[in-house]
Amino acid sequence: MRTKKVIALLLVVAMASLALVGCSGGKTAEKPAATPTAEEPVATTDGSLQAIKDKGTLVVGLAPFYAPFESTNEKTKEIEGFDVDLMNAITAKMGVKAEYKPAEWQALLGGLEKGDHDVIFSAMSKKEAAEGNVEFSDVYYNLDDIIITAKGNPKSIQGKADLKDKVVGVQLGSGSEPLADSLKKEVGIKEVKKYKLTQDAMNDLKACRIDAVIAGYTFAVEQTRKDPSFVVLTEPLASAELVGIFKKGSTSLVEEFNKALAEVKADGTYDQLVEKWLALGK
Amino acid sequence: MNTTQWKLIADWMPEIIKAAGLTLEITAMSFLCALVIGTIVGVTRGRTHWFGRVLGLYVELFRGTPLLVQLFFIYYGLAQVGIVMPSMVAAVLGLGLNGGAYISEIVRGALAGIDRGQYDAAHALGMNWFVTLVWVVLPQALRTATPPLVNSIASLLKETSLVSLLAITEMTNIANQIYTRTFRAFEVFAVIAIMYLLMTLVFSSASRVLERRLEVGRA
Repeated sequence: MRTKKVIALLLVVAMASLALVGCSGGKTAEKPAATPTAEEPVATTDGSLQAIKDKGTLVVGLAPFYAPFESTNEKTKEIEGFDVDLMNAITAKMGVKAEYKPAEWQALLGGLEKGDHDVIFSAMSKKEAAEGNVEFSDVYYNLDDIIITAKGNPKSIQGKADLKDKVVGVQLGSGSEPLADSLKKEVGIKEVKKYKLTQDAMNDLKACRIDAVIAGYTFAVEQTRKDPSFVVLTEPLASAELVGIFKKGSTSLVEEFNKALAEVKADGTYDQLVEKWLALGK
Repeated sequence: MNTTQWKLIADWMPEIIKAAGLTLEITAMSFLCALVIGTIVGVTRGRTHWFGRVLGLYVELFRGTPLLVQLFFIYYGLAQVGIVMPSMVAAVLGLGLNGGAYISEIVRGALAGIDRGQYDAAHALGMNWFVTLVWVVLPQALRTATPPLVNSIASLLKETSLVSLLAITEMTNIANQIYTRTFRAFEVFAVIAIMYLLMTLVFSSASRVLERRLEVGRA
């Protein structure tokens, strides 16, 4: 009986260690794929681009809770938005297919490091990803942070100075969060409430539990389209540079991505997409 | 590349301590709330009338649905229909109602363990139901109920992590803030887990001391 248990235990341990080897084995298997490029004269030092080309798909991580950049269409249940269309255009130029993997906003950078996705393309700014061990693409959009207030602007907030002694909501982990924290010191915000989603903050704004929300401009536009009672102060508090975010060392992949992005901008597709998703209601 | 950076977490320690204080505060307030609700419900449900059935429904409702859903409903859901309360109130109410459902069962069970003769003796001495309950039955029931009650403080403490989603800066919320700024998931959540563990250890050792003092098991 006893020996049987010991054998069973040993088997479990052996299997677990096999699984570990299996994981790391998968990674090392990518490296040989990189070596062929070394034979070519235009050798790039890393195999990141080759790995994607071999796979034929670029796995894109995004948090689909941020219309108009990315959200789940209520009818088709597909993820759609500016980021999705732009990424489709870019990957088409690169000759690969984009595959979208929804994730929690807070888990995006961890997922990149773990290898859940090859790139983060989720209206994430340089600042938001600054502390991660990552590489940025060229800037694909400049997103302003602005103030949103409730119906009729009851506290008559006209600019950041008026946020003094007010309760302000932001999304935890968004670029607006450190911005709100610095404004707290600068103008004396009473309290910065940190929500999982900006949408939650908007709900609290509606319920008058907070006085203002700081968020990205286009998010505000989307919100006012759904509910015109919100008041949007258009004067930007700060501007965030949105980029595609890659794993550190994926130089060749980033170069190819930037080249494709430039092409998409040059041939007019980019402007069409801005018009389609990010233009203000006239 | 995969080295850990504990120094980053050390810089956040003042905020973490502050958040830990808030976690304890929420735990204490909701436990008090849960204890009051649980005792009233537990005692009342034992006496069979229609009100007992309503309370039974309450217990089923709060034990049968996830706490997170309850909290979202109380905070965001009720706000939509005009019942607006501050996040702390919603948190304590949600945790209190949820904990109360579980505690009521502890109380009910402890009361059921009291010998019928105790009631009869009290009745013979001319005590009414309420006096019997407060002076005869509950003190005896408390003896068996104490270990599970302390246990429920520990689980309540852990459940406070869910109120981080109501934008309350307790330990899990601050952990997420540090995580999204530093991306050091290992360090952040290890430290926060240890903090929770230390707190629950206090309760479980207190439970052991209480058990010895109350001589649970000898009753």
